[in-house]
Amino acid sequence: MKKIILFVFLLFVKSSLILGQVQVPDYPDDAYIAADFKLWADGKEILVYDTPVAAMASFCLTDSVEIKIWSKVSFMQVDIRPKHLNIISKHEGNYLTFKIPKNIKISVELDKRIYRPLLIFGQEPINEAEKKDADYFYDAGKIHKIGRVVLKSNQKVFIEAGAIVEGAFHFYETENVKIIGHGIIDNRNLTRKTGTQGIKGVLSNNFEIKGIHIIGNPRWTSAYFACADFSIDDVRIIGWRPSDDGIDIVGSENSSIRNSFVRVKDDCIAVKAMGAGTYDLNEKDYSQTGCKNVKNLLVENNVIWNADWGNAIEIGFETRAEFMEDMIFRNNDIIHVEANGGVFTIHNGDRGMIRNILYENIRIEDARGYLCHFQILNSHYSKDKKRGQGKNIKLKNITVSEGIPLNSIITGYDDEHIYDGVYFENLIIHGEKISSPIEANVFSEYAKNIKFIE
Amino acid sequence: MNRKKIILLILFMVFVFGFSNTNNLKLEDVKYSDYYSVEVNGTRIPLYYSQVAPIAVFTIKDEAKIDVSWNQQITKVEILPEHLGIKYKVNGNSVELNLKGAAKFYVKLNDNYVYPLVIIAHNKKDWGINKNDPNVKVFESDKVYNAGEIILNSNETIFIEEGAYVKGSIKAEDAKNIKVLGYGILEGTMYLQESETEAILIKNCKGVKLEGITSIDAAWGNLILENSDNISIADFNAFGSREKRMNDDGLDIVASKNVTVDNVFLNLRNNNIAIQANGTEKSFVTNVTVKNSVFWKGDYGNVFEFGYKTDGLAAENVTYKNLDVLHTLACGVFSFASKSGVAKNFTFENIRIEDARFKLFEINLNGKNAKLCNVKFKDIQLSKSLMPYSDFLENEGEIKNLIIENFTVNNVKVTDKVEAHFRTSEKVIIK
Repeated sequence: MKKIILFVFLLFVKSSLILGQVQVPDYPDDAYIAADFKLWADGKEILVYDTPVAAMASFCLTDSVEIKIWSKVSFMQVDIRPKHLNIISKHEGNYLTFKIPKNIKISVELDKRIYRPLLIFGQEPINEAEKKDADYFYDAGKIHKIGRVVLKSNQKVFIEAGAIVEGAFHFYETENVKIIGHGIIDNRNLTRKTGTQGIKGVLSNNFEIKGIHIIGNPRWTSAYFACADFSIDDVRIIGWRPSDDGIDIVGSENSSIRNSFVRVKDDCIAVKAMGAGTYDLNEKDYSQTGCKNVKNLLVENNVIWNADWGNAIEIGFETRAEFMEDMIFRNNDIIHVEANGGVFTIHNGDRGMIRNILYENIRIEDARGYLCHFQILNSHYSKDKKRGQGKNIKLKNITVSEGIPLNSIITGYDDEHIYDGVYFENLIIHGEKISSPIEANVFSEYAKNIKFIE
Repeated sequence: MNRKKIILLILFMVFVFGFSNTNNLKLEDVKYSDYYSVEVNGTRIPLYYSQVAPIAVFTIKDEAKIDVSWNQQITKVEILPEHLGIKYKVNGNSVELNLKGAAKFYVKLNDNYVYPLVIIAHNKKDWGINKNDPNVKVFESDKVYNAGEIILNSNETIFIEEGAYVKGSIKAEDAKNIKVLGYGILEGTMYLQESETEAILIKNCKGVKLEGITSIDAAWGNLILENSDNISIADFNAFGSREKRMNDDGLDIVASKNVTVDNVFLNLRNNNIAIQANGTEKSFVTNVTVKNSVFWKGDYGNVFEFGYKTDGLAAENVTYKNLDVLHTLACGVFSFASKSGVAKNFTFENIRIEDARFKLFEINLNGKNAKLCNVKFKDIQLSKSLMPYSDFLENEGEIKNLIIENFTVNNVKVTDKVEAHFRTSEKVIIK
């Protein structure tokens, strides 16, 4: 019995050093470590992982802790986002201190240098029992170059905190796959030719993706085609490469994205209906898989940062299905939309009827493109000859707290392919309630029933 | 060929010519915008529709009173560029402006950057056109032409009068001493993007004068100069696409030399001005001056671009001066994106930037032959803007003597690279 206890203890210690309320990830010696930030949680130093667009400190904690940060570059002013968390910091020289609760994802930005934030992810530990029956276990302190792992039904992947995996996990026509852990999939050294989606599910049901980090993926970071009944929870994505969409839900139903952090160059969360390509292991053709209706999607409690291209929350451009409907985006924080992207975007580029979309309790901080960018169009991504429609889209309790007063574009295609029913309820921009499309600077063509309701 | 066949051929040509070059459309076939209402000295004028802004084009003698009405209470007015100092008075849903002469500017109301109003007020001008000259192709005022491709040969002039609306494109190839003049409209909606039809293509030409034309909704680039020499462009205006066209560049200077660009007014989705290679092993761009102009860019490309087509390109002696960049949603203001091109002796001077939301400098040399040498940015003023950031990525290329002198943000001089939000800037000298 003592041996078992010792084994379990060692297993636990190996993955992350337990120091009071904080578990410190044990990265390999040759991991990318940032030189311009240091971070201590409850006095214990946490190595700060480096990426070209952000430094990142990710660790487990069981209760609220005191954070101390050292920045190599001196600073005068601090933004800690999402701002509604109201984290008060104390600044002394090149040090900053503040307290965080558990299960938090924040961006610490010094002197508005949003090109070099320190991202802090503090989460509760994952139940250690999850490791035991993992089919693929990646332990801490190592870089695992795995290529593409193809999972079968009922298989589980566990990536320990402190483990770094280079490669991808794909699953086709499976049930009950699970990918879990607080480790990192870091694909920055892969190219578009050598890399692929970090996680890809096709025609699969009842799967769960939880806790992992995916960094620097050379293509869409994660994508799910024609899947059903799945959840993406507490995932952290940092991307800076072209076409690196964070999470793509394609022709799928009954899915959720919760408690995640997405900072990518292209679309952060994209909902589409389009093919999944060819599966090159068995040459099976999935080129039409994913051209299916999308239904029952819930996206909640996420922190979203859209950088150079794409949009924060996107439906489209590929809408090759009859219906894309019943989607709820609620209680999300949009902390940055850096360029021309929109916060809420629907680019209906194919034949789909997009309807019953609810955006609710969304807090927008620094967005620089558009609030809404709803279009029906024949785009360079379009394949259907028939154009689609949009109906019953509601935006409720939306606040824009800083930056430029955002404009919106709502344009259909022609008299028969229109947006019918875009409802704003309690839109607050810079503290003022907006009560008309004109006041909100909504430019519309081929659209009707754009209303502000009480 | 017997006489009968010759007569039939002539009749056929007259038939074709008649339908392709004369006015077979009516003014109702022009798309106008009623988003705003504009009166000039008490007379309402039509606003030409474009995807990015409704456009008022008219001529004035000396002074003019402009009344702009909107369908809502006006709470904020911006006349851009601001330094024009145009005075205005707000009265409920309308704004009164007083012009003291020719001017081109935006009227931006209540922070509406999606669809601001454009005013292009020209001075009356005697173009010295002899309409009976067989070398002059005239498109007359108050007529709409379904012209299609208009070919411009050596020693010919195309004159598009103020009030003329020409649906089509202009192409000159291997021509000398050519002119495109007039305050009329050239509009490209008849072309699909896939046709890659430029509004105006000047290729292998020498001695080109282009003045006064306004181009709307070009399918693929508004004004392309390729392998051409001795070109004068003045008072050219272009309004591009919000969604339909991806490649609506304003002015592409492709392997051309001795180019002067003065008083242009561009609002495009993609590059406003791009210097590019022509795809051959070696191409040269030399002696280019762009001055006294106004720029507005949407979601693709850059305002001032060197690239992306740079294979074999050597560009030198390029000057941009006294320019206003009013709005750029994405990408950069100053961009050098080069795999193997060499840019030498570039000067950007007295550039006022009012709203740059993403990047200011976007320099990315992606190949060992890519070089930037003697590039000077002087008196760069950034105002009313979120602080954009900048990249100067040398990679395998070489940046030599890149100087930024007198860079101000909201009238405060910035000499510290961190404060300037320069992310990567080892080779940049800022003073």
